[in-house]
Amino acid sequence: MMEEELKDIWGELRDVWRSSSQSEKIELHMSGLLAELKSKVSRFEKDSIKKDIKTIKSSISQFEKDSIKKDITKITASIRKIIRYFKKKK
Amino acid sequence: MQNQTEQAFSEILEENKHKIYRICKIYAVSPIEPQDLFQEVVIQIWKSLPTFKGNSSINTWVYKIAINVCYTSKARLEKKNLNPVSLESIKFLPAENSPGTDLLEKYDELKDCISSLNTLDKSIVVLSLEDLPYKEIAVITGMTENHIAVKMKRIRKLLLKCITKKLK
Repeated sequence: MMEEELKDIWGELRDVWRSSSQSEKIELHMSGLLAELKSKVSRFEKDSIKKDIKTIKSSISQFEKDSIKKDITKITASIRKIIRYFKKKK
Repeated sequence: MQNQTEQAFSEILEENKHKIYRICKIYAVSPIEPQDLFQEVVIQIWKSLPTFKGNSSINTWVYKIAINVCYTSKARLEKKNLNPVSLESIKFLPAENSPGTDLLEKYDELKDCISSLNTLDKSIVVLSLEDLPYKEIAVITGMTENHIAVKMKRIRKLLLKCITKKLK
């Protein structure tokens, strides 16, 4: 494809792209929107923080479980070593 | 101060609503509607405006928010980790002078081709179709201007190949 032809197609694509938002009329009722945002945003933030805390809590408890498992494995291995050591001594 | 922020918010939104909506239309995949993403972008602009430091132009800032919010909200909505917001004061109505069927069909083909690109390429091409210079695209995507130029050459070829194939 020639450079000129490519430019033309690209230009046409830009027009298609620009006109894509014209199929709908976006009406913003600004005073109502500002009031909605003021009341809803703080609620969204609270909800979002609650959700984050829940996620953190669940990850912490999972982390604790994993950590305890690891500790038990380590303790069991050490006890076995000690038992083996004493058995050898006998 | 509050009034100034509200005034700035109103102006930014009114001036940029169509470009935001164009981006939302690209990222919205059923059952997520572009209107849902649009509302998420509006909320983010409202939340972020008080901390806007003016390091970039308002234009660049709005695009950055729109791209980021559309991408993350889409991912969160897909995971059902986000409840779509409903702002009653935003209304989407059919336009009186809607573009012709031919143009709408071409748009659908273009959208299909853009959707086949990966996330980064998708945002680069969308910003390029918005007529943004490489310098601004670089700021928004966090890449260098040269990298954008190289990528854009390849993406444009890919896109044109896809679109000519569809329109034949």
